[in-house]
Amino acid sequence: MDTKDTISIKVPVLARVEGEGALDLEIRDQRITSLHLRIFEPPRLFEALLVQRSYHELLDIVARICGICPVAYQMSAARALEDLFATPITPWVEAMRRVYYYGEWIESHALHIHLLAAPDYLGFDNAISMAEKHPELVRRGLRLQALGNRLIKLFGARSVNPIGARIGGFYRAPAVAEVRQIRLDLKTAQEDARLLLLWAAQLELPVYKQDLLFACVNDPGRYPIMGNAINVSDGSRIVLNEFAQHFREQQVAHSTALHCHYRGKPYLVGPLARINLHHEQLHDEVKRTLSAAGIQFPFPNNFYALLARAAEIYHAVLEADQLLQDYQRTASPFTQEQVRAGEAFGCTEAPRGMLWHQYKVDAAGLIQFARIVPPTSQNQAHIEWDIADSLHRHGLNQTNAALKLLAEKVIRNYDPCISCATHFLRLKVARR
Amino acid sequence: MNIAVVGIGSPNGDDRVGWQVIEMLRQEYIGNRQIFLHVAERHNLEWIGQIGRPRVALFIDAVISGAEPGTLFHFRLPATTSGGLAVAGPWQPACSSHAVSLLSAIELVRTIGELNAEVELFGLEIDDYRALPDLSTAVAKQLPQLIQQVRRVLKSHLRE
Repeated sequence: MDTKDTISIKVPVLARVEGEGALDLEIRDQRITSLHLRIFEPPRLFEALLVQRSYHELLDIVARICGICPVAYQMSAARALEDLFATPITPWVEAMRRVYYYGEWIESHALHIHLLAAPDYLGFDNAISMAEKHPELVRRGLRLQALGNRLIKLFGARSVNPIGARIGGFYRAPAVAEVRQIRLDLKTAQEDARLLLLWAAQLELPVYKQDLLFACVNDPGRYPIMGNAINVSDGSRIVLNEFAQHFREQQVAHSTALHCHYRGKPYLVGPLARINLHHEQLHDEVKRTLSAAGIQFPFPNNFYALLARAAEIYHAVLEADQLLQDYQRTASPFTQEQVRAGEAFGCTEAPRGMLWHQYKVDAAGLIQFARIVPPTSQNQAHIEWDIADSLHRHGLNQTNAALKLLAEKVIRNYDPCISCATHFLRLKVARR
Repeated sequence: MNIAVVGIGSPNGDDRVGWQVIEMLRQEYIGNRQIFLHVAERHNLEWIGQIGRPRVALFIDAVISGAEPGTLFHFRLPATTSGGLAVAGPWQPACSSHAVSLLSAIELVRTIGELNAEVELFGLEIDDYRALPDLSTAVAKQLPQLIQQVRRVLKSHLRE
């Protein structure tokens, strides 16, 4: 039982989806004394499962790690092995991979904004009850989500667990007629994406600035998706094979998922990290829309991640159309690889943030070692820090329901894979 | 187009029963403009926006309820549910981009006015959802009954 000086909030089940989680929060004398985001995520057996599998199975296996961001898993793995095998990537493949990847950003961001986050900001418990009052908002979200799925399917043959990507490119180049049709869809979607960004820009978001440390891949001259290094907001640039020297994963007693720190500190990955570091590389039309709405990046507050997602959707719709503008079907949708033994590193920007892969491959092309650091793992320590920081800033002298809702919103801003749970926190409060 | 038939699933083992029903129906109804047959991936939002505005929508999916493998299910959803469908019973409202139930997806689309149709659900209790190349014995044995059931309902709607 809580006293007026001690509040203990226990959220026993955050939910399923790549594991289960909970939130334990204890407040004494208006200070947070304990805050644990507990994730009961089962061990990521995929890494062990990959050992002794042939490299050419890799992309189809890692695509199954996440139903929402399979493209990211495929691209981090592909780029790692292509770097090791010294496989040249043609400009056609480079461009079409961006389109493929944009499809994933659009579908993942659209789902997160409309089904998970928007109810928070409009005062509803869930998307269905929100849809009764805001049907057009949900229609727009579902249209964008469907467009993202179609882009993934265009290159991946299917939107769930796509199978079209391979080392060196794609198994098949889409027909010109297919691309012509998807460009019509992209043109139509531009207005949806613009209106979504304007809608996000008028949301009332907290305006305080946090002391954030964030990171994303360095994609020279372009908005970051795939690169050969990592940019950190402290000015550092880390090459991919030195990731483990700067980013350390560690076990914590309250979570089966690893916590990752950058030089001993929690850090943020994801859309806000990308837009804060690389807003100048956004499509000009996105920059104009943001400027007209009075929005300026960088902005160090992760409540702005929703706005960053909306901006990335608009950017993705516009740039995907441009990349497909002069599409020609190639007879060589991939470059044949030459297997080499060695160690491989790859990192790309999943919708939720950077996804780093490391492999060791023998001369026969069998994987001997695999290590995958997903964005949700990287964000976990930062989520705990952010909950504490946000609760302090908003004031701890609130009802438990208000504290719980704020904590849920903070968690949802990261769009973690445990996010479904955060809409259904069952709050158990014991007052002493 | 009057009737949409959606088979939900994946290529994996028994999870493909919905797809196989659609494949069979395609052979029978090829060229029939009254019927739209759609193979949907197991992500339960995939079919949204793909089936137009039918007057009848039939969904076929694999079921794991604890019943005997091969058990057939057939439900007619009430015409109006006022938000009660997705939160009733063991189902949860649409909550996660990873796990939106079929009922939640139907509820969501009905709520925004994109599915003003009679909706019927067909299910077959499956035995094995691993990525196997073949259906399990129990499911393979009952698949013809499932197809027959869907065919019968489809024909009755076509006569309306």
